[in-house]
Amino acid sequence: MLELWGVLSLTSLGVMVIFLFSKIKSSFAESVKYAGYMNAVLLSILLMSDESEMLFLKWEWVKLGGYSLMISFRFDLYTCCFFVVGLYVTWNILMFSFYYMSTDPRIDLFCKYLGLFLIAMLLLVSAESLFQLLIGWEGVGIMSYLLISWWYARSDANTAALQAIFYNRVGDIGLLIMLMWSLVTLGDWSFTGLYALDFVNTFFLLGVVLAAAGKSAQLGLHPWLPAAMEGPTPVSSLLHSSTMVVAGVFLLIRFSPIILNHKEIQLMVFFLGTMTTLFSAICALAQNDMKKVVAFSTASQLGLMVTVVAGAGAPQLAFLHICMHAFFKAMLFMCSGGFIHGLQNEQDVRKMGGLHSAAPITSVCFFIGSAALMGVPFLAGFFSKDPIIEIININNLNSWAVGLVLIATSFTAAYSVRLLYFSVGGVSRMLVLQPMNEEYGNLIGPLQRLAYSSVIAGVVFIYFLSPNQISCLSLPLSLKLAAVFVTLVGGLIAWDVVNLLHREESVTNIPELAFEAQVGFYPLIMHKLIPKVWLNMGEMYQMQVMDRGWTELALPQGLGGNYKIMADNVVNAQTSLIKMYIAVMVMMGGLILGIMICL
Amino acid sequence: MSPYISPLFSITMIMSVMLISSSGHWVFMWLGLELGTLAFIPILVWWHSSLEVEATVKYFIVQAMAAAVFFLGGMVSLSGDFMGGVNQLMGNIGDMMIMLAVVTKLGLAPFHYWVVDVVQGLNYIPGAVLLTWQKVPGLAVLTQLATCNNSSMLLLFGMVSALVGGLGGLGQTQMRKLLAFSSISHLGWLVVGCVAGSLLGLSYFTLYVVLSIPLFSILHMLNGGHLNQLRTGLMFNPLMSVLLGVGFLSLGGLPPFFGFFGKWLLLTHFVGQLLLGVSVVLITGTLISLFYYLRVSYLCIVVLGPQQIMSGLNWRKMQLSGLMSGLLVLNMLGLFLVGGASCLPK
Amino acid sequence: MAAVGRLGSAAIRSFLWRRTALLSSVRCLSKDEMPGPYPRTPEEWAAAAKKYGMRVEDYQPYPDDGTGYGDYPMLPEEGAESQDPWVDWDDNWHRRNYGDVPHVHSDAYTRQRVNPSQKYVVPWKKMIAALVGFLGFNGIMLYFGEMYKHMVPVAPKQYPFNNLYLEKGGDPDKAPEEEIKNYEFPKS
Repeated sequence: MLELWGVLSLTSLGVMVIFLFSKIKSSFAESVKYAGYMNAVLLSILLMSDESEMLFLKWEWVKLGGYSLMISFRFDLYTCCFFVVGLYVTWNILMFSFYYMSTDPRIDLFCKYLGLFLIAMLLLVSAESLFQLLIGWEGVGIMSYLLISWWYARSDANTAALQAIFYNRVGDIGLLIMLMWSLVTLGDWSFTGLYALDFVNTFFLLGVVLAAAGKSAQLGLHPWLPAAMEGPTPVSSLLHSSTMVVAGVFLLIRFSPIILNHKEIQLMVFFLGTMTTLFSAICALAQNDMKKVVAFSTASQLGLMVTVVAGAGAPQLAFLHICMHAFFKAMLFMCSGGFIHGLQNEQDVRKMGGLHSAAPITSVCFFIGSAALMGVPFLAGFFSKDPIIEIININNLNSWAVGLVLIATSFTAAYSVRLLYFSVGGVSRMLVLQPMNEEYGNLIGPLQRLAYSSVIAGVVFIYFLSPNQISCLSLPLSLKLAAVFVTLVGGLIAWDVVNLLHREESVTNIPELAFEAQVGFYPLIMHKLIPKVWLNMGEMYQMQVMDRGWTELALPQGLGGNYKIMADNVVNAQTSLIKMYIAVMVMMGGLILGIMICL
Repeated sequence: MSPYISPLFSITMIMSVMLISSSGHWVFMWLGLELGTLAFIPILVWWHSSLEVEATVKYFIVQAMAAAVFFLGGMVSLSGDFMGGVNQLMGNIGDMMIMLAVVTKLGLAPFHYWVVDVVQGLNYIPGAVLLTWQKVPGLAVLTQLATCNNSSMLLLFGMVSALVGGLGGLGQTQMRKLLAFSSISHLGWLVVGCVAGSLLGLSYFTLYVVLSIPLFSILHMLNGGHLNQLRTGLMFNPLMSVLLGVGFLSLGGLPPFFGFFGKWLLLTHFVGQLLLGVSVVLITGTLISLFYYLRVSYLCIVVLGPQQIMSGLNWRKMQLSGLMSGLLVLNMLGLFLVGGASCLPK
Repeated sequence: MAAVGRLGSAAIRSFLWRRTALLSSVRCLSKDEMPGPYPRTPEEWAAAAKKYGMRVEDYQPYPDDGTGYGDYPMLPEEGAESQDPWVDWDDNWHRRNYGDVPHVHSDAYTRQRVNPSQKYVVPWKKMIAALVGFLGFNGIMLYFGEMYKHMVPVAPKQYPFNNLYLEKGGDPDKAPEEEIKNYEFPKS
């Protein structure tokens, strides 16, 4: 029964891959949709059947000496849920891109890239061995590069794509460390083999942390995430909701049984997550680019997920947040895409305002998405965020880190309210005669579908994704309401932020605001100052002293000169005089014979 | 000279080699060497040009001197212990003198001066015979002489030959001199190979012959005495010119070609016998010589010489294209040939 | 010992003597175009300034501390990116004119590389101070937070009927014999 189930799921994906090659882009979108429905049905069957929750499908791929490389899929609850969420969200994004990219001459190729992106992500999620994970991981990286630099004529887009691939490459080193370590010590790349380890290796876990930090844009490797906004909006939507950025968190979830056995690594991941969520939330407060705000909110939520994986030790909650986040974040990006498209590619929130009357449906969806992001009770975000805050509160954890998480949560509300106020509410500041129009089926349809799911998904998913090791606890009222309370406080903070940011006088004179607006000066320092120092050192010492100096003197020019001298000696001996030759030969022979006699 | 008499000389040269390799006594070796030299000299002056005559006289003087030293060495050894077999003459002066004479006849490094001048004076065909076939008698003696006692001396000669062959060709623009220096360099490898194992020397010599005879004959056909004349070769006879370039790369020992695998075979055996310093010196010499091989190949393959506007590559005048492509394939397929040779006992 | 130290530093400095850097330019520069030795007298100074097409008061070579460039002038650090793009340069890509003396590190200052003369609203030191301050402050506070942990005493919820054993789907056959006794408030 279960095997049949897994084969059906894989078959639906295979059909999707076949439709990827079709020339009609809408047929591919349909295939994604039906694959999503199929997997939803199969998920419900899996949940209803009381058999084991795990299924492995394995085929032997190649046999290398004693080691056999398997194609193996791991169908557990995570994989199945993610299949449904990923396929559903991607279908909507594909439909949205028919609207958003309709004037693009290469829209067919664009849809194929999106499809490949999704397939790589599904491969990553369902992988049972590290090697298959690597294939999906690299596929996601390459497709993100191609998609971010979709408008390749823009130098900003190219720079952003290069940033994405470079920072991801740094993270990939971590994955390679994992592969190397497990190949050398275990000779096995399967997760089951790794879970069965009775000791925890710090080196391996550092690789896990590095890989996850690179892919999920944790603090230190985060600048590519906001920069990736240079791609088309459907790309941002897919990249930030269900693919790519959650891959790192997913890796942490996969390895959480091992991480939770290692106190130091657990603490390190916890701090990384809390710092990321706070830093990104702070940066999101002062951004004026609409997509940048949403991007930083993604980074902040990723930090929250990482926090809850390691700090509270509840990977189920992190995964629940991934699923919920996928719905409303995709919708938020689509709404901002709709606004941007309607306003003739205007992304600056200071030139928006009053859009609730120009685009009411998009505005409503934007409001629902923001509310879900803030964790307004009984929307999707509430069901994952509230348990996260609670579980962090009741655990015996670092008090400052807990405080940081609470502050970041309140900031979530702050930047969301600010963004809502400036784009949707208030008076209109946009240029006159904007062709704002939402009479497009491919805009309204995906938005509505995702809005419904943002409302009800939490109620559905909480039934089977609640953390199983935490029993129901009695909480004080203050803690029970902590999440809602900090969100309310955040809403109030937003008012102050709005007042502070949008006064008449120039805001650059306030250093704290410059810190926020310049995203902590991190990209400037990392991309301008450090390369400058390195380049100067390389130019002065490596190039001038070594490359053009002493090595040049010693090797290319010196060798040539020395060989010329020696060759001249050899050739000058060729005097063409037989007397000389015979004399030299006799002398040589005499010398050799003399040495022989003496010895 | 009448062409009908040339088979006599050729048969005499072959007989001389057989005489040497079938005898164990130095007198017959001397006889064989002298017979070979005397039979070769009329071939050298085939066309009676002044350059040829000069080269022949130089060749004759040096060979005669070497033969005298050979005979003297034999007499010395005979006076020493009154024993006739070469294998018993170990470490005495006579043995050494015989070896020096043979080395002079071969043209190894400190005694190499005559080779360059003689080859420069000759045509390509007699030059090819001089640099290939005429080495066989000397090598036949040398393989029997290469005993433990004087093998270190032979190693020294081999190393110096490789270096001198590399350095001497650096500034050369005359093709024949260049080939002479290349021959000296290869002779260095060859002699070290003879010391490491006579079959190694034999296989390297075969390889050198197979590589160099096509080169000599192509150069003869292209009639290129100077490097500059090679530049027009690609236009007038492209196939041969390309083969010439590939052949020189192969002679220089670049990896996909035949010449590399010969050197590889030798090097594996040298390293296996812990001749590490010798290997390093040999490779250094080859590296230096690679410069002029590359220059020749560059001129043959890459550069298109000055030409009139309407004349393109002259593909119609290709001669012997079957033979040429066969040689080209031979150069490329060195891997298989040496694969068999590497099964030789170490 | 001191002599050895001086000798060592002299050796290092002579190794860093970067006039050798211009050696590879020998291929394209004639010997007269190579930078000469450090000018000592005012006449040499003026001659060197003239050689590089500069006024004497503008001309300033790199200090002759053993790591200099001979008489090559010390030019202001200007990246090609901050040059005016609308000027009709002889070399539009590098934004320089024929005959201009390039900066000695001009290889590092091309348009795709760093621009040392770019101005930022917030100076570098403040930027670094802000970032390091933010991270450092949080790091220190996290260290203290590890000492004083966040602790809220909570307990599992208590329910009647053996903690709702049957209601939670427990097997009635294997029900524990002893009922779990939860605390009850005294009646009345």
